[in-house]
Amino acid sequence: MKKRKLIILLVITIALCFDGCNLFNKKKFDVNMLPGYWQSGTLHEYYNANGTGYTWDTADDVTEEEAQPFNWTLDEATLTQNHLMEMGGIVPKTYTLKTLNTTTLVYQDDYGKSYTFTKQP
Amino acid sequence: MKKGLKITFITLGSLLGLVIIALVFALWSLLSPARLTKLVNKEAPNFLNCKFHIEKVDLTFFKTFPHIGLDLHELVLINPVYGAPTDTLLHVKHCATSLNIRELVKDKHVAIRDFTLQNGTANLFANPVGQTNFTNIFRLPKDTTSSEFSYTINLEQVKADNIHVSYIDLQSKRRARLNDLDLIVKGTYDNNDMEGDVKLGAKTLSFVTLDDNPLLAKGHDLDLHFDGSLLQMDSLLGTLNINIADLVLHVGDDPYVDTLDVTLASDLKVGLSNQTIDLRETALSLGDYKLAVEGNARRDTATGDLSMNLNYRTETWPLQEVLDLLPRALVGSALDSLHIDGRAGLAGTVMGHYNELQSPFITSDITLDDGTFSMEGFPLVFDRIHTLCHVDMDLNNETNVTIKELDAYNGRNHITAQGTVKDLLGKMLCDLAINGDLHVQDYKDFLPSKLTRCNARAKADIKTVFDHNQITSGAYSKINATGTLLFSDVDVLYDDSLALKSPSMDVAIEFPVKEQPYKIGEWAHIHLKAPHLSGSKVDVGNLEASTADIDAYVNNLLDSTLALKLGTHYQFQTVNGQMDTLLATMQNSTGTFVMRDNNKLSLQYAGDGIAATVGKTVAARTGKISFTANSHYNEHGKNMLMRWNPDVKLKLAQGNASFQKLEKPLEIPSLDIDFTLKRSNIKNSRIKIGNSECNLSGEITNIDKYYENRGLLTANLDLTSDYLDLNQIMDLISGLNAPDSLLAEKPENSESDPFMVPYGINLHVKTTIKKALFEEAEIRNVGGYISIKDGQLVLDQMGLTSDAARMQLTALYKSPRKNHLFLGLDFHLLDIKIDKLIAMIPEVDTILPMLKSFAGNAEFHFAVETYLKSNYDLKYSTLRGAAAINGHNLVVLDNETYQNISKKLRFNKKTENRIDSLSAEATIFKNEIDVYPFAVSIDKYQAILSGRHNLDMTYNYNISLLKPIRLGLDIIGTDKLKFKVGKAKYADFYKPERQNVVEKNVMQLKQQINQALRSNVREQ
Repeated sequence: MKKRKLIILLVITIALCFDGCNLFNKKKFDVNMLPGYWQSGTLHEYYNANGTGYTWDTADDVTEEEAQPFNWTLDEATLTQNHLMEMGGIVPKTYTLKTLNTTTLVYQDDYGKSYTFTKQP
Repeated sequence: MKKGLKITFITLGSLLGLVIIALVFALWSLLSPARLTKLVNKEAPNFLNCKFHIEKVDLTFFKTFPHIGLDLHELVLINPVYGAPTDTLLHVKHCATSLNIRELVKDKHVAIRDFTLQNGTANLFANPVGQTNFTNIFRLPKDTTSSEFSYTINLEQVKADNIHVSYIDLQSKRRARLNDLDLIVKGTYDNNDMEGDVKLGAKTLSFVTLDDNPLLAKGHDLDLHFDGSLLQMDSLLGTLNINIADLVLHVGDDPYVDTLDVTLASDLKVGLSNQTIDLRETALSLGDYKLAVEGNARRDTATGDLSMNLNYRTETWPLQEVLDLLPRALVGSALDSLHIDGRAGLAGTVMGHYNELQSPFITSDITLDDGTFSMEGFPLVFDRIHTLCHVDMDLNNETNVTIKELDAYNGRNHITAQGTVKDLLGKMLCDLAINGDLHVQDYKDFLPSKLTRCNARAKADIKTVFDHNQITSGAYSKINATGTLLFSDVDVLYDDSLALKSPSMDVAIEFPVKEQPYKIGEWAHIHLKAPHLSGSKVDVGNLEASTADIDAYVNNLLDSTLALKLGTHYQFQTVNGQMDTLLATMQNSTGTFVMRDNNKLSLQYAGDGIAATVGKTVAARTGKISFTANSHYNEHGKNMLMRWNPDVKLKLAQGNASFQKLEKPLEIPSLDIDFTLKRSNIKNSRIKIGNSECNLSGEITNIDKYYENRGLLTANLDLTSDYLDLNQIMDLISGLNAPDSLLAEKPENSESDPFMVPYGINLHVKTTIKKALFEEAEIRNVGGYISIKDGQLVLDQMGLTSDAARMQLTALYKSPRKNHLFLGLDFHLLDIKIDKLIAMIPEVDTILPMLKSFAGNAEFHFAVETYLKSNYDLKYSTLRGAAAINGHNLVVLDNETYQNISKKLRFNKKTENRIDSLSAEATIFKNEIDVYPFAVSIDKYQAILSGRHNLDMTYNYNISLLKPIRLGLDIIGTDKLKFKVGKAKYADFYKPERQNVVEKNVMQLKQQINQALRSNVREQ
């Protein structure tokens, strides 16, 4: 029984080590690549260079003029969107960038949900 | 003329003297012409004061048959006077007189009984200073002792044959002429009294005054016969018959008589010296028109004035012909525009003086039958006129008529009248009492031009005063009239737009008015009573009234330059009105209505009640109601309300209104409002709507700016209520005044019609509500503010209490379009039972599904916003929110999930499932609900829960067990949860010194969320 417990602890330790290695292996992305108009299906996001942006989803009969605002930051691979509420307050969302180039933006949240956007003119 | 007669007699007398002289010489020279001529020429100076010439004197038998007489040939009397056209006074070819030879021879006595003048002229003249050529030219010798003869004159006959008489009097400025005068005078002369018979004829005669405005009389075939006496050579008494053909009488250029045959038969008495005349049984005919006259006249010898006192009576004359004979100089142009005919008879008097300045006063009783009357400029023609009237003609002042009876027809209209007409030949001021059976449409010319249709039958009883000028100039507005008109079958159309109908109307009129109660320039007072009235105005509506009593004053309706002004006190038993889709019935209405001009209206109303409907959308009814309304019409107003710009003070009781969109009616037990477009006050007004009842008071401003799109309709109201059903109220005001494009938008779900927030309104309601129903929740003690401002509905820090909790709610609802509705909530539930919270807000279970595992009281703070579809479904892509729950001593319910968790985490079976404290935060983003790590302590166990679940109910949670061992449990899945043991995700979450970067960030976000949510809680 004790042996079994030790094995479990070992596994956990190893897992934590691997996990820690991942933290140190985060990619860095060029923040200047992000501003612009990105689309993923019916979901649209627009990033302004000044750290503001807005998003809308035409599937819900929302137009660009009716888009909701957010502020964004990109720190290495961590993309933080603070969605601004009209009633006051923010709803923070944190994603990890997987890809960011002139045509493609891919980010993923902590629960493994991934979003792929295509740059729009 | 009388002076001329006197002169004639004097002349004749003088001639007799000459005859006597001739006879004496005839006798003296033994009747030979030479001796007679010599004798007469010798004796003549004894009798004549003028030069004379007698060519020859001889005896005649035939001229003086049966007596022998003397015939003086070519007798000339010459008496020059300064200024006279000739010095010849008389020139006749023959002057003959008879002689009694026996007396002449035997007694040396010359008796002259007659003489005759033949073929000659007489020129009588008086110069401006009064010298004449015919006075004092004859004389009887005072001493006849030197003469061989004695003389007596006892004329029995004087004849003149073919004598032309000219008479010129420059002092009295007159001239007369008789041509071919034939005269026979028979009678006796005794002691200056003459009695006899005079027949005078002349081929032509003329008389003219020599002044600036000469009187000219002329005629021919004069035939004068006088049978009477001349007493003391002064008083003429007898019967006079005169016929003159083609008499012309002019004064200046004005004809008085134009070529009329005139006859006169009179029993008269004439005073020559005092120039008087008394007429008895005098018949005068001018042409075919006969006139009987009696009375007297006198000419003032000093002034020339003629004073008269005469009675006259005519036969029945054809009026038009007689009026044509009236001298224009007398009647002026007064009759020019009149066309009068009929059979007329006159009787009356002529009294007073006649001279250049004065005319006598003439009275006349006139009877007219079968008469007709029309006047230029007067649109009516009357016929079948019968009248009996009295005329007082005073040409010095005015001529007045008293109409004793007048009965006439104007077409099918029958009129009777009595009254007076003053100044008939001038202003023609009529004061009449008129009764008529009239068809009003026949008198359209007298009615306002804008009265395009006026059909009615009227029985009129009118007293009116008007004058000629008012009629001919159309100044009907200045006519005075009072009386009653009983109208029937009234059908009136004014200005092609305002119509009025009534089966019968009793109208009393008075104009001009005696008082001016409304200060609108009152001209006419009209009191109307009608059992039924119906009216309509194009583009406005219709009106039906029963038992109407309208006491109205109007300004001058007939002056087209004036706008209609109206002041009225009205009373109606019932009034039914229709204006566009508005239908209204008013009971026992009374009040006043004043229209100061088209733009200024004032209404006072009081009634037992009003029932009204607006299409199918609104039906309203009131109990007793009173209001005053003033309006200053502005034609530039954007809508009817803006145009009429009312100032209303309204009080009503027991009102209610049913709205199409409301199942329950709006009841108004009492309402007291002062309303203007700029500012309106609602005072102590009580309203019931459906299940709701409230008292509403406060102020509404900027209604005008709201309609002009210049500002927001602003309302600051206090709403107090024992109970409000907010669901019904929201239905009532849904979509009010939203843009057309918004209203036209079809909702996604065609059955849905969401609540659209009114635009252009700044409504601020302070609420004090004891109990309210919202959705399914009954809430109490609602206090706070409800605001609607330009498309936004805000519930600002509303304090509420329900069975579940004390609540505080700030909500924002916007409806930019039907399928894109914004809802934001800032909701705080204090001391709430968790199960009640989930029952009241089921969405809480969606946000924090683990919450239903707990029981007990908690504090819940929740801020969320999202856009909604038209059916209020969430647009999840727009959902943003944050929530925090804080609880103590919560019980974890023993359900399947708990059993699974306790089994996996090896809870002691004796462990009490109570949680000392709970403090959890979550954010909502789209369909993702992220629960931030929060610690839970149960018995000896301590764990940190965190994770995500999606609104599709997929879970990804982690429980980090910290005590008694560190262990992680992942709970993943949907309905079939998978439990997987792993590492503790947040092992050092509550150990700041050991927190990693992620844990620090998360803790910081938790604190931000919690603080942000709590910061909105208001002290209660």
